[in-house]
Amino acid sequence: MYFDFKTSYNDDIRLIRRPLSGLFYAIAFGTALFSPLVISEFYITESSAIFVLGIIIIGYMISAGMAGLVGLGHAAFVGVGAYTHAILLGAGVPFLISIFSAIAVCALLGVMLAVISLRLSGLYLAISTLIFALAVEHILGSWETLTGGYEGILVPDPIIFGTSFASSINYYYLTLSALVSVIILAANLMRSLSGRALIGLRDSEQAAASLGINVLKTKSVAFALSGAVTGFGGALMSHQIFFITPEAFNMMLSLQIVLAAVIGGLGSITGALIGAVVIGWMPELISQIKALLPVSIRYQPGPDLVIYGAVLIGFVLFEPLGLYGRWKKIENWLLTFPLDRKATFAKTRTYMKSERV
Amino acid sequence: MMKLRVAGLKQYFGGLKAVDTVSLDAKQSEILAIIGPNGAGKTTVINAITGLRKPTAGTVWLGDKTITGLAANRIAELGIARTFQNIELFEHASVLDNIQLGFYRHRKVTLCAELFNLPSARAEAVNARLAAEKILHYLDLVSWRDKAVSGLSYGIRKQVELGRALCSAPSFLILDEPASGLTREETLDLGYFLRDLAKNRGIGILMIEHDMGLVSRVADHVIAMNEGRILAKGSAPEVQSNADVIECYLGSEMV
Repeated sequence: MYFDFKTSYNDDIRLIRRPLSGLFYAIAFGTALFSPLVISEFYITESSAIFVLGIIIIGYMISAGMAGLVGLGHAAFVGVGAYTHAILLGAGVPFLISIFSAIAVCALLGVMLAVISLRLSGLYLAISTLIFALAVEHILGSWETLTGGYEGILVPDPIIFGTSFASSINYYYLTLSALVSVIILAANLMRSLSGRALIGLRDSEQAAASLGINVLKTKSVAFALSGAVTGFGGALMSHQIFFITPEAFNMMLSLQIVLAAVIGGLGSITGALIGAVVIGWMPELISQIKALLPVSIRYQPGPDLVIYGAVLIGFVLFEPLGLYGRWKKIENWLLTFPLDRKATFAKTRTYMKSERV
Repeated sequence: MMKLRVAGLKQYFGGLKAVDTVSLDAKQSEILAIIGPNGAGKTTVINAITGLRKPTAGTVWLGDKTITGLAANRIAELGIARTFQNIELFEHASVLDNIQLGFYRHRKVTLCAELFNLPSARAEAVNARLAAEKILHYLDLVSWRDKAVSGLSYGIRKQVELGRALCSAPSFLILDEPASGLTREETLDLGYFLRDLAKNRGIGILMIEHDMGLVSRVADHVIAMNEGRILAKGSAPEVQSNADVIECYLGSEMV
């Protein structure tokens, strides 16, 4: 049995609330910091890819998990972030200015998407974001003078104040520091009144409005923040692809982002990170599974999507709260042992919520 | 002493006159109850006051300021808090988070300060917490503080919703059937809280209620509505003995 002994309101506001979780974060951060010294080049590159994916999924989590604006088009933000960054770098703009411009452009794009879909929710919102992503992908492909069309453009090496971050180990530290900053910003958002306003928006728009929350403005803020963070991830991602084409930011990427958020657990930063790790290793896993398939279907393009879909369905059916939700249950069992109650997480009756006010 | 005044309020849905020329006065430190059968237009009146629906005609004043047709969040910012008939809580957040969100209208820091967790944002987080803790203690909800709302009983959820409205420190509190679904004991407690809020804390309360026992115990004034119109106004005994009201509730005697 474990008790949280709190002595001040700040105990609840702190990022690290228990000594044990402090230790856990320290170990995780230490491992991330020193592992490039021992692991091979391949794993360093893979880890940076997962860090970038983590940033993108945290971005998605801000709109889908916190504000409940479940979109299917976040690849658009990744794409616009990557393209803006690549184009500006190509034009000789310094790295930091370029990456912040990419963030700003994506935030604006987020506001634009919010304005288009302000009054939509649920399925209709999902459809409108899907179409939005398709439109963006098409624009990236057709605006040949700027983006090079479907032939793609080369992404210059990341150079900050004369130091090149192109080598895998430097790039690893660049993405790690980016991920840590994004985690801290997102955690700050979650513990602030604005973060709670997003949650309010997700659970009841009417109640939120009757507490003084400007629903339309808050939705725009959610999309802008989400777009900015996702675009930041996209800009960093461009350095992994070296040569970006519109196809890199298609439906499949949007799907992977949603999948990662659901597998990890919507609405938590830890969940987003778990999702990033799982999705980051999924292609590897799929190729292992494919090796077991008969030769006649092994090289067909189908199996990937089927496996992604099956995993998504599996989670939605059996663990809608994702791996993080599962961990929460285990954690609760450990903390309350031996007084744990099976019914703690049993589904409670939900009261009818009519459309009438 | 501020007044919440409604004059000539009309709300038509096509040909249906849901509310037809309703006028009422609510004062701070007083409790005004609206009674009436289902479909009388009671909830429609408060939806029009709180800005969830723009009235067809009529004016609403808060003090000497016209608030007719303002957006719901603007009206909330001016100090009118409300609860809903079918509890509208933030289901997946804790009781504490729900109540703290009531503090939102007093938010002064910018989003930027919050993202970087500047001292101003930290100070405000503590202020919001302080306000919420006072409410938790007042309504005796302390033991539920960290529980998720979705798992709580109906009575507690009603309390939490009241607490969230109170956390905004409103000058007027509008309650839509606060006692529906409560046990006898819970209703008695609610009556005590309502009297205390009005008499000792100076909040003006406008409530829709079917429980005549509660209404006659706490209400200073009662309005009876039927079919979108006001049938009778006055003290609880006066309204209860009004011939039109009796007819509307019990039906007329066919002689």
